[in-house]
Amino acid sequence: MTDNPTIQIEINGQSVQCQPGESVIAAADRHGISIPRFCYHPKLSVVASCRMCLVDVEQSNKPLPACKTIVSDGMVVRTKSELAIEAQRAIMEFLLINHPLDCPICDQGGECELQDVSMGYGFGETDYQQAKRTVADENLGPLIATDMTRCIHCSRCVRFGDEVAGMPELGMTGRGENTRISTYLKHSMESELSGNVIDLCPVGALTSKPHRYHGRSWEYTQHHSISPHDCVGSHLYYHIVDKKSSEKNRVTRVVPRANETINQNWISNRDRFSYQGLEHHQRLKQPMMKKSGKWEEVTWQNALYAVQAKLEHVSPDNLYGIINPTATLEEMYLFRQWLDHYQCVNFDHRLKECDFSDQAEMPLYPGSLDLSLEAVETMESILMIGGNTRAEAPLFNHRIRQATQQHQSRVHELNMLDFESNYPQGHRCIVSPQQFAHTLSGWLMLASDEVAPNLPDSSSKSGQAIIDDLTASNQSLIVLGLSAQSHPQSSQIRRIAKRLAKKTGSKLILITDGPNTAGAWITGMLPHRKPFGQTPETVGQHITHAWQQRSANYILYQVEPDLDCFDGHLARSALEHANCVIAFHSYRSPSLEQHADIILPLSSHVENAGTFINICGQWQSFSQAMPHRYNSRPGWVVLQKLCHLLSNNHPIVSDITTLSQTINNQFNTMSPSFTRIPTKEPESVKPLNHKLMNHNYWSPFKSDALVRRASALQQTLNQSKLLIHPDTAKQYAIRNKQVVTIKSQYKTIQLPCEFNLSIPIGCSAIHQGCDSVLPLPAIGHITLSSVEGDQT
Amino acid sequence: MIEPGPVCYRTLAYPNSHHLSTYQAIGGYEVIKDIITNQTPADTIIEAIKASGLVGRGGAAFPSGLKMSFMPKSADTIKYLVCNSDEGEPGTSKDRFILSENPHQLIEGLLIAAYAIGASVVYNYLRGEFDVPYQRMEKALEEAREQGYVGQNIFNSGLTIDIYNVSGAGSYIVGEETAMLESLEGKRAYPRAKPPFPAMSGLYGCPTTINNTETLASLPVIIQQGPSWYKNYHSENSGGTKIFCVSGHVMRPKIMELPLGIPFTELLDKVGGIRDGNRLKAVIPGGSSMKILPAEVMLNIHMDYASLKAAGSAIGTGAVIVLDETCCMVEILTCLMNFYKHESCGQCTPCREGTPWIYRTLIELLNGKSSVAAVESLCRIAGNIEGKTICAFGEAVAWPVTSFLQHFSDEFIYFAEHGHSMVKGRKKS
Repeated sequence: MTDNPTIQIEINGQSVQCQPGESVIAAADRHGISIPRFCYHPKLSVVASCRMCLVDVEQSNKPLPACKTIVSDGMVVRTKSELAIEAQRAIMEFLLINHPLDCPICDQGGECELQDVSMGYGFGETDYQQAKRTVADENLGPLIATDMTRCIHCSRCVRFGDEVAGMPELGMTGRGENTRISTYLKHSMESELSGNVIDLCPVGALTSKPHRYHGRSWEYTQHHSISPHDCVGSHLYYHIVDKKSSEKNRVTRVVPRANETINQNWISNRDRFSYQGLEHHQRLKQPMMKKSGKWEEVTWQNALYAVQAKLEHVSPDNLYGIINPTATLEEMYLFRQWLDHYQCVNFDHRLKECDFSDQAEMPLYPGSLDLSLEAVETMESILMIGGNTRAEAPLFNHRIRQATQQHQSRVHELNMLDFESNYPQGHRCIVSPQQFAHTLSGWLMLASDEVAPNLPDSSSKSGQAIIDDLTASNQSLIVLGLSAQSHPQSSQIRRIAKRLAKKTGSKLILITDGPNTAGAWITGMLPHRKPFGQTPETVGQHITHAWQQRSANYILYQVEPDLDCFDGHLARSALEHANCVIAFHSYRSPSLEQHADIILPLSSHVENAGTFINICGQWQSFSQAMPHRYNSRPGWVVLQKLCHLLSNNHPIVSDITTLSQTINNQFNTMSPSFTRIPTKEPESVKPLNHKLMNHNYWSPFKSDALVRRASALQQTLNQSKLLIHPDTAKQYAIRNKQVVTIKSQYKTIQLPCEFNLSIPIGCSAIHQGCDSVLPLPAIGHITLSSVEGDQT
Repeated sequence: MIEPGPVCYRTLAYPNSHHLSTYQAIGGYEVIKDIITNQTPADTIIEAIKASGLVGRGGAAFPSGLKMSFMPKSADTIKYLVCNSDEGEPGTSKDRFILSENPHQLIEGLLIAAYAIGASVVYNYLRGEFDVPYQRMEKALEEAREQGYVGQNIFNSGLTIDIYNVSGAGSYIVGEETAMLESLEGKRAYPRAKPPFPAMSGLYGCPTTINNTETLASLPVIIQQGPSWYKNYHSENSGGTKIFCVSGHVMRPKIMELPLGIPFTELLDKVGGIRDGNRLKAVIPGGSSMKILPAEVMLNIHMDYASLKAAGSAIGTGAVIVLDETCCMVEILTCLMNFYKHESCGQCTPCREGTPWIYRTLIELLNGKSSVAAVESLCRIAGNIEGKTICAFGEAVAWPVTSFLQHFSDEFIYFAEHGHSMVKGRKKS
């Protein structure tokens, strides 16, 4: 920040180097000179309304707000002169006359900026004798609790909604002493980043509903960790109550840890509130074995021997190692080492995909290595293909929004659903899943100055405009979202996207599932790659093939087959007919209890340590935030034990950093360069000829086992509905609001349907998703009939 | 009652004063026509305004020519002129009659100012409650457009100056110039923190000049008659004319355009003196936000900027509120504070929290439930607001409180000690 300081000012006699255009408060902050403030926040616009930061500036007869006063050469600032102290005391008194002075019963007590500043800058006495103002509370939904009487009108929350979240959900109504922070019309806060207002609120007006009255800040130990939910890998702090017995330790809340290169000052609601799942009653406490159809708790030793016995005579062809990309790099590495003893070749982690024919053309891992998150903000134009970054990777989406706000970037979109974005949109093209890859392939032809056959006028027009914009921009980016990668033609989509990026001079980035898809590619959680991109002797079978087996042997690592997979029902029926299922998981679930033979209890994310590799290839390690609870064990410990049982030569390391270092060294020495992988020339893609396809869009709060068990986040979800265009519905004689029967290849469910004009013709969509709809394929053909129709 | 005057109210001497024909008959639109056809350099006009000694008539009394000269000279960005017709200062109703009785002169003034600062768009922001003035202004604008005075290619010069009337939504604070800009942009009328000043970054971030209606309506006459005519209108360097709105305890409250520098006693004579033969007690000489002055000061004062400043108050908007011996100063101050409590925008802390505090302290005093200590705290609270707010509203609240207590503290202390007014005696139960 201080690359080229050219301005020198004096604060309290101390000489301070500043940048031109900087505010006094920012300069003071950098030099550790404290100036009290409430409305000022470095990531929000400056309103100078709280007046707490008034300082004495030489040559000004009035005190000036340090947040709004721009430094000028030779400026002399005093924060402790008589004028400044008088102003600070005056403002402090005004703020406190209507603020309840009941800190002991306030949830913010002990970490309240008003409390802190009043101790340092207040007067301690007041003449105020009148009644205090009381304000009715707002109901902002299950995540944010309000105590509006405590509000000091700093408007940070309002500016956050306007400027950062891009959803102006809160505003100020009323005038003078009747000024209120309000939602105007009653509704809950829906933004995926809304939880950040809890941190922004300097007082106890906006607090965390799940955390409310659960603890005091001074009781907590703060532990740095990395978010286990998305491919950005936000930095966060677990706040943990340390009790004498580790059983009683618990995470009471999660707050962001500022990191300018990753998540800045924010975390998503999923990262913030998923900790509630840690306390879920389904938490596995003891290794379990099924004996004559009944589950029995066993010791770790017996369980591990039993695993060994089960796998002893298994044929490698019939052994499938399926791992969730929520696992750490170390767990994946050891998982591979362990199953290598059994010559297993069928590894996979691509739970939510179904088309793998381009796998050999993929680079070492799908994260784009030449792009940082910060660089996304500088893109002039962006094309979003198939996905909703707001749900999939909220802080990646935040970077896109920043690009539109700060650099007037244009964001174009080709999607299967009309997702609501929080930035101004450029050209948009919403097509059905049948037409999706076909449209993209047509656009590639347009980029090659060919005529795109069979494209409707509107999509070829927007296609041409988008390609022209990407080509004309110096900095452009193509983002491939998760639904594009769940598409039945995703191989072709990836090939076309690569070619399109090359033709238009754009960068390409793939949004990936879970926090560690990149790690899974690197450690060879794939049928066609060994760790570090080495080529195996035999290419194994991919995950869809694995689920089509009968009497196979499955090792499931953090996988809940019916909820985590592209086609949950297919996965579950495979397990039903399996020879043997060994599951590593932190939670019990009906599907595992029904089909597994042995379940090994893994420690949760907070009790684990390891490394995630994010979307931009950043290796981010985190340590154990608290000791493992019950009789669960961190995966890397269990897997080392299993390896050791098979071979006494296998070294057991007790320190995970040694293990991480080993992996990193091997990565640096062994990984081949994948920069020149030839990509197959994409063929012209024909539309899929299914009459009706359904797009089952995962809610972000259903994305992994932990968040599925976080109660407050689950309360934010609406009832699942089948959304369908009225014209499509007409073909099936379905009326609005009617309950319909949805049949996929393997599964039949019933849901109410709702007409929605934004759904393309020939397809339906299920948003949000209660657990019962998750087993439907992410994108697949279905048939529909009305329930009443069936009965008559 | 309203009297014709020499500058802004000069058409009032004629029937149908607001008609285009009336204004044209006294040489209306000739000044701007001359300027445009002769392509008078903008600097010449600004220098003339500077030389006339004209200062902002909205209350702040900032030299108008100087303000115009702050506008950047480059032509690469759009510039705006905003006319502040949100006349909300209690006691003031001078602009309302310019808008309704002499709208064409204001339009000509707007054109002159816009030409001088290089603005192509002018917004005339009218107080929300101004119904007739708004309609008269709209009609006048329509006529001026038809004549080719306003719009594209005015006076066939190729020059574009568009004027729009905008009606407010009824708030006092929108009269603060930057709050007005926010309101024009469609936002809440929250005053902006300055700097940047509007001349650098005003409406939509573009250079903007904001002037009061009376200031702008004076321009045609100043240019026509010459700056020195205006400056020395009453006596040497007296600074032109000012509309005075005399209200309160006088026989015939009146709005008059008079030379600056006339003695207050003369002004009082023009309104027939104090009602009922009572004695003068005090005067708020420039709208409710200005400091009150006691009778003995006022009776020796000349109504001009320098004299009132020397006496510790200011001419403000020219709203002269006259109070006679029968009024209770505690009641008067409570009445004023009720207004400020209601009109505080609530954006910044001292004003949002301080004005209701002052008001309720006064209410307690009026109810006989107060103490001398509480009276003393009034000044402290007002002092804590003054100079610490985003806009001048803080001063507008503080000045009446401090000046009332400076000159009439005995009444406040009496009220606190006895539980009833010193002037009005014990309330009949």
